[in-house]
Amino acid sequence: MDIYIAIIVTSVGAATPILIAALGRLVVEKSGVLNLGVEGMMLVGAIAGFAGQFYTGNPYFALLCGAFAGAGASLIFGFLTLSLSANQTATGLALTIFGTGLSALAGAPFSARPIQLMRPLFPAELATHPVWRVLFGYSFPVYFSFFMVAAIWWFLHRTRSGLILRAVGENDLSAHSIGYSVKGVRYAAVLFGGAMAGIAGACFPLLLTPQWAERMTAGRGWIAVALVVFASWKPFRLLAGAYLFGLVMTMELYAKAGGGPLSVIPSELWAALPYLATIIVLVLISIRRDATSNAPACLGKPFLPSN
Amino acid sequence: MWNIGAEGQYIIGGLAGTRVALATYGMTGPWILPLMIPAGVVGGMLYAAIPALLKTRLNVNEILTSLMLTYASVQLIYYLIRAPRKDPMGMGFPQTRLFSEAARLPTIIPGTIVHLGVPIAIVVALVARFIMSRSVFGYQMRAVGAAPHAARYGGFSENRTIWLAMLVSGALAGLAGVLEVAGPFQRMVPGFPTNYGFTAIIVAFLGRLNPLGVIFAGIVMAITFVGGEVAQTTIGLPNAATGIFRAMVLFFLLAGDIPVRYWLKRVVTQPAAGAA
Repeated sequence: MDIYIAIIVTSVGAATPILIAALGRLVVEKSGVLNLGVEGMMLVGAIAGFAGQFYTGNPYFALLCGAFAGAGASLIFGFLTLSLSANQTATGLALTIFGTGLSALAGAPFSARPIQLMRPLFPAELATHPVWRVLFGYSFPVYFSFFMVAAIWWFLHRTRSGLILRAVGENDLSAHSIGYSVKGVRYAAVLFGGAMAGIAGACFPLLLTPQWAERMTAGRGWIAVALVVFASWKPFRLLAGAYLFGLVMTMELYAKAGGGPLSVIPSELWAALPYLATIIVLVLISIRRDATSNAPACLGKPFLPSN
Repeated sequence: MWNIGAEGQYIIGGLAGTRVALATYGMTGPWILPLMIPAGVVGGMLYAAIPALLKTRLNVNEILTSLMLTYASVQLIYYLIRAPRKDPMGMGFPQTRLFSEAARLPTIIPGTIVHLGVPIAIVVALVARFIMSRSVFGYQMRAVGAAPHAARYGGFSENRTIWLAMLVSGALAGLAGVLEVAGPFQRMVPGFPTNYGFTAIIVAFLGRLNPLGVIFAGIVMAITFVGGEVAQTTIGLPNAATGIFRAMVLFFLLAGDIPVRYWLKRVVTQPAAGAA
């Protein structure tokens, strides 16, 4: 019983940053922008969050630091691709390389200096019983991620602004011709996506390992990228997908710790499993015909009104 | 077409070369290197064939598949050097044995690390330049890249071009991997993946997607690697920090494209109108 509870709790921890980053990305893609810099923005957010917690000890301030750092990094991307119409794929990759380097440079003085993990949101009395622990044992970002799933669904499908955002992503020229600011909407979406990626990055030192390590997000940003395709741009499917990946990653941890039947398979295979699972998932959804038809029509195309 | 997985193909190329080097361990003869190099090339090619197959058959995004395969290949190194291919004399270090003499690339300038891979790379760039600019295949590749609809109308098969481009690209990444493992490393170590595959993307852009430009861009990027190591040893700057510099090169390059193409032209036409 206890082991199952532990697996669930660990999976939730592993899934949360992926879910938050993927939600931000979903909104960005819905506006028609393809930002492959998620991994870089997450790393910048991770070091900002780490530093925030290190200096103030206030994890909420640390998350805010992560959000601002991620948004700042996304601004570089926004300026290049939206104002200068640079290639989105190349710029996103450059942003990932940039964020990896910047976080390594900024993080060097913090190595081997642990911080405090974020405490659970609810008082410990609520989480004494194992079953209650599954519900009330987590810290703020976990509940934030649940809230954002619903909030983003509501925003995209029940508000006027969400409709405008989707219109910009589906047909930028039409949206432009009826007077909506395509660049304005896309800038806002890119900044939101950057802030979400930054928060997701800050979750790594605040929730998972309270120490700074270079490249500590270990490709999770790319899994978030794949997850959005997997979820066919639907927030609630994103939730399911993120928890599936969280479970796979937890298996790796248990295999490494030598957890009985799991250790028959070498731990490196478990570590490779989330990436292989991503490929399998991408293959499965592309076999289903309708999957990619849900993609925003203007995804990745630069907006060049010919006046 | 985006082959982001060059790093993975480089790793598999290195591992395939390692496999041959270890299987022939202790043997001598000039045939070992000529066997290792094709093994690396084929390894890289096969690894690139996976995203190519998924892209052409099922239209799966090649950026994601090739990248995920890179992460998986890093784990494959860790596994192989931890368990089945571990150096029996390595005192517990996760690495393979040092290759025998015949499996190491000879240096061409004595006393330096300049090995046979350098002239091989230059020859490859010259051949690539010739193929891209002078052959039907090169024309087809450029056409599909620049104007897919026109290329399809002209009877070029997009899928065939994707296959060719991915296989050639994977073969070259595999070649780079086997040259690295047989040249500077001379054994497989956990530090073998050096992000060259990602740097290669910057090199390709900096070389303006021209095979000859790539030689010079490669040298510029190599200087940043050496400079990064000097900065690490002298002022303790983390090596990854040079990534900032490399990314900024790419940022400025991408940002410069639009002003170079559009804004400067307007400046050129204005004085002409004024003079008339």
